[in-house]
Amino acid sequence: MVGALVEVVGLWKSFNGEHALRGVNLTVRPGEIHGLLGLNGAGKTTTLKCLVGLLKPDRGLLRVCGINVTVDSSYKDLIGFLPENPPLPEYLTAKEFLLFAARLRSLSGPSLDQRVSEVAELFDLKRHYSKLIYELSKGVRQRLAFAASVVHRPSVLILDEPFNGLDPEAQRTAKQIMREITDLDGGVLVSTHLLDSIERICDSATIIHEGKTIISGTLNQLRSATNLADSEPLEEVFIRLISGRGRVS
Amino acid sequence: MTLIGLLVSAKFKQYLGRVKRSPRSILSLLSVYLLWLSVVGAMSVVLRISGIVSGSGPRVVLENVTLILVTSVLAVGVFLGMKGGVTALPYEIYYVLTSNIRPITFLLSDFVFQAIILSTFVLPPTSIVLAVLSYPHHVEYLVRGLPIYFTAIIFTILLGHLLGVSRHWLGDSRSRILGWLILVATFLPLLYLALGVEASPTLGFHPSVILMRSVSGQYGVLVLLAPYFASLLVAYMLAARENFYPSVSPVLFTALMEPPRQFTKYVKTLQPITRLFSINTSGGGVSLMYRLHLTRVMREGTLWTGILVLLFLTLANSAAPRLMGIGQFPEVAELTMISLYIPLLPALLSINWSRLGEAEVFGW
Repeated sequence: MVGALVEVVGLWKSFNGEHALRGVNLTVRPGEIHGLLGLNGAGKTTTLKCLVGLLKPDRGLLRVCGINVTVDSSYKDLIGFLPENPPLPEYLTAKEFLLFAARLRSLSGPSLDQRVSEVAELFDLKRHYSKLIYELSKGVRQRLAFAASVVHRPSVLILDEPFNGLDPEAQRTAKQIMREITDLDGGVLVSTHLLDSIERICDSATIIHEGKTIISGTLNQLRSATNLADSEPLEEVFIRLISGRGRVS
Repeated sequence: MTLIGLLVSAKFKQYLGRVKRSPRSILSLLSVYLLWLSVVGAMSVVLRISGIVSGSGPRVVLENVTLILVTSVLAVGVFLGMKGGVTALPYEIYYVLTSNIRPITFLLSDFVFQAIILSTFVLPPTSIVLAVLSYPHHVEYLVRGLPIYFTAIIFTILLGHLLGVSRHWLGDSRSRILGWLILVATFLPLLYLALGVEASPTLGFHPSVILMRSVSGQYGVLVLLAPYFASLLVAYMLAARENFYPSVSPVLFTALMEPPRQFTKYVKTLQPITRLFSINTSGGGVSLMYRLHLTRVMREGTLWTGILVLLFLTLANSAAPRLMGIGQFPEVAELTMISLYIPLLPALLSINWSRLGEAEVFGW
């Protein structure tokens, strides 16, 4: 599709002969927050890892900002990635880690310090600046990891269970940032179990089940596929679709 | 700071982070290291005083020491290469490898890191052995030997990295086969030496043998190393242009103490015994943490892995005096060599017990 920020077409991936992904398709358009939904083990994290270059797909097309991710790694400057339960370098201070993440993402000079200071302020990290990461609480670590994923102002933000351990205030900040990215015609792909959070922030979603996309579209399209009214919660839509009680498109 | 410098310094901060936690941990690490060096020194002195060296002369002993050491260093590189080759800590997987850092930058940063770590562990004890055994010609032998051991370190890192990247080119199973073939080839000179049979003349082209011969001043043979280095460098340059990131796996801090996946299957048979030990929750926090981890290392198998590692090292070192041709006084030599590894058991276990630091975090 022309202008799509993220395109995944027919993605397959297997581990030791077992298929983890058997045909995942999804598209994230500019200005869109797109949810990636599925049960535990459905293949959400595997899909995201293929997109960020941590796994090599068996087959399928993956493009970010029009760049084929399997042949050209320049797209990595355009993405921000927040892994699930991010493994942070425990023995760096919060400030050192943000500076490290910013340098990795090609920031340098005065803009580096300024931007690091901005995101630290935004995520209320300044008072933890000089603490080693292992001394930080789970919520602060998650805020720090979130800050690191957006420190370079990515065009595409890829988030794996971003709300784990975030308090309501930090969740609101995270959602604001996601919306800021889409307001600038960027895109956000977010994988989560928290359907009520997704429902409030996502413009569209893809549901995958047993490694395969079963439906993709706007939230209303998902509802109409299950013959549910627009007022029905996404949870009901999700349960119906994965139990095969919906019209799959 | 350059990107390579940034990656290396972050890696060191993370690697040595636990040590920085308290003066006690710095002191314990230093004491283990110094104890290890002093045992190496004591062993060398015993070898020297007992007249073992005078039997075959320092040259032969030093050549054999070099052969064993260089082969061991190369074997470590091949072994690490089969385990992944590139030391990527978990945070590097998720933050460095998902950024647009070029593979050559990442490889070189790991090259520097490994070179420093390996040199720290290999060069000081080697210098002690060389100096004691070759005294009063110690300066001459140190000048000859240390560059040779450093060359072996460079060689082994290149080899390890290339084997790690070969998983990207060849796939896991073929890369592992290649690793085993190189490992067998690496050990060939020691095999000949151990069996006491006359080595094939082609063995003169073996890198360990070339380095061994150069320690006694035959520098001309170093030319024979050029094809090896040239091939490794060409392969390295090709590897550095590949996007091998998807085949990089995280390195475990527990290193040797991590039970192999198949081993845990056998450990299950010991469960009736290990279940006899249960955690008595009475007592203070620190003793509770000790009991907790003792129960864990027994039930998950790391204790048994540690015992196996110690057994292997003991057997390997009992064979070492014979390999070195110092049969005149093997008992003392064996005893000294085994004692070298006695302090290693608590050290190996302590690697796995790093979570004892939790007690400090909780202020117990």
